Amino acid sequence: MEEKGYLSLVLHAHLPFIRHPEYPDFLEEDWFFEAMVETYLPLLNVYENLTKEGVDFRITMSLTPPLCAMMSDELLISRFRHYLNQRIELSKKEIERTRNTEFAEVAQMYKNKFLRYQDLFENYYHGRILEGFKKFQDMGKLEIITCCATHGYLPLQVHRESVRAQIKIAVEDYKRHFGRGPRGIWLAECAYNPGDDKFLQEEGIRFFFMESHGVMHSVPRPKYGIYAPVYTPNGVAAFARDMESAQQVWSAESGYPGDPNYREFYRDLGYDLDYEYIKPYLHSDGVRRNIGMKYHKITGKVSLNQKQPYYPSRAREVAASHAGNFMFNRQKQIEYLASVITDRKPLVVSMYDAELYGHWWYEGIEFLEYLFKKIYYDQKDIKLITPMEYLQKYPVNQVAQPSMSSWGDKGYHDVWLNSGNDWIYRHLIKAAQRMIEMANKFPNADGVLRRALNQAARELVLMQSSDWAFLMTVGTAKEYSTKRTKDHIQRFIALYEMIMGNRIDEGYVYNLEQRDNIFPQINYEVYRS
Amino acid sequence: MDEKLSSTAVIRINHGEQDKAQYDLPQSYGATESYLLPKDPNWMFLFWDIVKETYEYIKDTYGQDIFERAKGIIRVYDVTDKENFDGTNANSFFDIDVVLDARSWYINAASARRYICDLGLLTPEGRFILITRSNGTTLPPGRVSNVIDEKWMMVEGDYQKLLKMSGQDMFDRQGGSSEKLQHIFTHKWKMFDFDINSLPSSHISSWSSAALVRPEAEETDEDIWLKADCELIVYGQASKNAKVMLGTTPLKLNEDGTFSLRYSLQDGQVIIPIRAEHKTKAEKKRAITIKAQRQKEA
Repeated sequence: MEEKGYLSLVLHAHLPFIRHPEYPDFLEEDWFFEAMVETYLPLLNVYENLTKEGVDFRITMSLTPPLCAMMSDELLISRFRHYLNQRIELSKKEIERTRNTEFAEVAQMYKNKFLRYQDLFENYYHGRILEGFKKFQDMGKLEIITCCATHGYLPLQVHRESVRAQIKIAVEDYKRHFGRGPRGIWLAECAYNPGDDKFLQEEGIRFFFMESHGVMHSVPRPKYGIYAPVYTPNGVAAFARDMESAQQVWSAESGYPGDPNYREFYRDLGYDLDYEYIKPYLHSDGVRRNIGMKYHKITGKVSLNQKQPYYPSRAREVAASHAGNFMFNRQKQIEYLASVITDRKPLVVSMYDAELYGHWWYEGIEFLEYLFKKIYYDQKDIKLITPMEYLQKYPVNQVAQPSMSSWGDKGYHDVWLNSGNDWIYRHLIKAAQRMIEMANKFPNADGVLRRALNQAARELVLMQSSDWAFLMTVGTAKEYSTKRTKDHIQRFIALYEMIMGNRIDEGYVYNLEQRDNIFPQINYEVYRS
Repeated sequence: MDEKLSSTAVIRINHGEQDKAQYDLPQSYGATESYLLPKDPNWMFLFWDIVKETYEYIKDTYGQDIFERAKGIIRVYDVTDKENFDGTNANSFFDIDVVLDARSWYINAASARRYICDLGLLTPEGRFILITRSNGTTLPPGRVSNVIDEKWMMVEGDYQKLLKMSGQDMFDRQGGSSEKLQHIFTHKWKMFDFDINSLPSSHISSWSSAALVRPEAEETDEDIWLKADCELIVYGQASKNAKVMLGTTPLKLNEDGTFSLRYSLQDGQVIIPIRAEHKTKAEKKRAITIKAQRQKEA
């Protein structure tokens, strides 16, 4: 029996570029280390397991340029090794401390997992985690897509050169890491501005993703709703997010991650253990913080000190049943869709932030592994597919102009443009205008001038990360994101004045090259009009 | 237990390190110009800078009292399908009174249209003096199109089923359902925060009414429709020797110490902290916090 329709799983993996060589120890770098141990390595572990078992699977993942930069940065990787070694050391001590207690099972789990991830990282991928992802891409199981260079928010950039540069820089970077051009892109925050598809087409990009209403509000109206892509006027396929499957996983009230048997995120050993015992594993200031090892389950609506011990084996059973439930619902959904859409097989695109799996929903990784296996072994109604495979199967699609939109709160730009962060655009837009001015004024620059121009381009793309405006809005790390925005603006202004005033301070340029070292091969000429 | 990762993040070991980027950002980049950004189907954001030389030039040309005689306005032109807008061939325009010193403004406009804004002065005689013209921006339609491609048609009944499946209900607030998943769980950043309760309540609101209204195709003479919204104007006055901050944004006071800012007002609570501080004696402080609660019901 043939499948009735397709499911495309898309994970967006991204962290902003956070790297501070000027400090021996920096809190926000932990975001990367946590995501490595809880999401990126565990996902690769799933792909390894499935391959070993002979389970065919398909998944699409964005690995954004800042994330690729951090994954291949020597300094961050050496710091990550230290982070992982510390956790392994602690988890070994914990085996002794928890012997014959109700925490013995969870302590064993951490030790086993940390050792396994270290083995993968060091012995399978030789410290280069991107090699792991590339391996599965080359096997045809994983489609790696790129993103805007620094997750820049395109609809709020008024200069076309600036939008084009966010795409071109990303594409060049992807080629350096993966040996060929990207076929797809995750537009930062799924933010699409009609007309930007031209730059995607110019770079050979075949598809991108949108929030549901972006495609639903296309002109003319999309025949298949969000269950087939549309081609933009420049011939790039726009795939829309399915809200039903999104809600099933992430609904605050009824989503899977809230199950009482799952691991409680907020109760952490960093606070629970005796201070002298835990101190070596805290940051150098000795302040108690989360260290990523948690021994309690969600339990229910009780206070943190009422949480009950976490049993990994029980949580795994729940993850398996949630995977079964998710698959069942997709089967029903696709069956229904197939009764309405009769001239092609419907496609459901389920898109999530990658870091939600593992980091936030700890068992989300096991959920995915079970889901892949169940889809492979237990049914014939739905088949996993990548967007590229879909386009090969259905090369003819409706042409329509999708609506400007994003996947942020309220569906447009409110999160990135509101009274709390609108001040940044005065500076971001001015910097883009000045970068274009310099690129036009100095074609084919050489020597230190070229280095200064390239560094100015790096500072520009770094200030354009949508993460900063987002963090200002949600109030998380607001001070840090404000400082990062201002730092890059200031550095850009300093470079601009040096370049235009013909008085480049090579030491200053060198210092910034060491610090903001993303895109080693950036070419400022990408900004020429 | 309250220690969070959200602070400045530097583990202070090297006190000696001084970052070059500690000083403040430029107030002006020395050019009279304005930029227009889209925000959602019904709002856009205009910001501008007017340099001293422009003020001088306008005074020299139109009289030294021109800024007292004439009022600041934004002339919002609908330039939909006008490739070469020259200031006279817009489809239509409307004016908004502004305080030039505000330097930015949120503008309410109709969806699916293209706009260009002129910032200028309107004299009592009705003469418009242009100060700066913005770039153009097009607002999204905010609803399902009634344009149907005949090659790609579906039976209307089936299409309504698809609309429903596609999440139409979720965007459409006429049913009054508040869909919170978008806020709580789509962003990893909230995951990296250690205290989700620290999120300001204003972000736990719901899809705006602007997100989607009923598709036009459904309209009939039998039914009616209604759209309504409101916005927020913050205003006040402080002594001339005070620095006034709205949150972390310094406010520029008018000659008489007054200030006024217009904001879009979304569902949920907005907290507006206004602080004044003596220009030289920092210990002299005043603070007023205004909390505005908006709840839109259909």
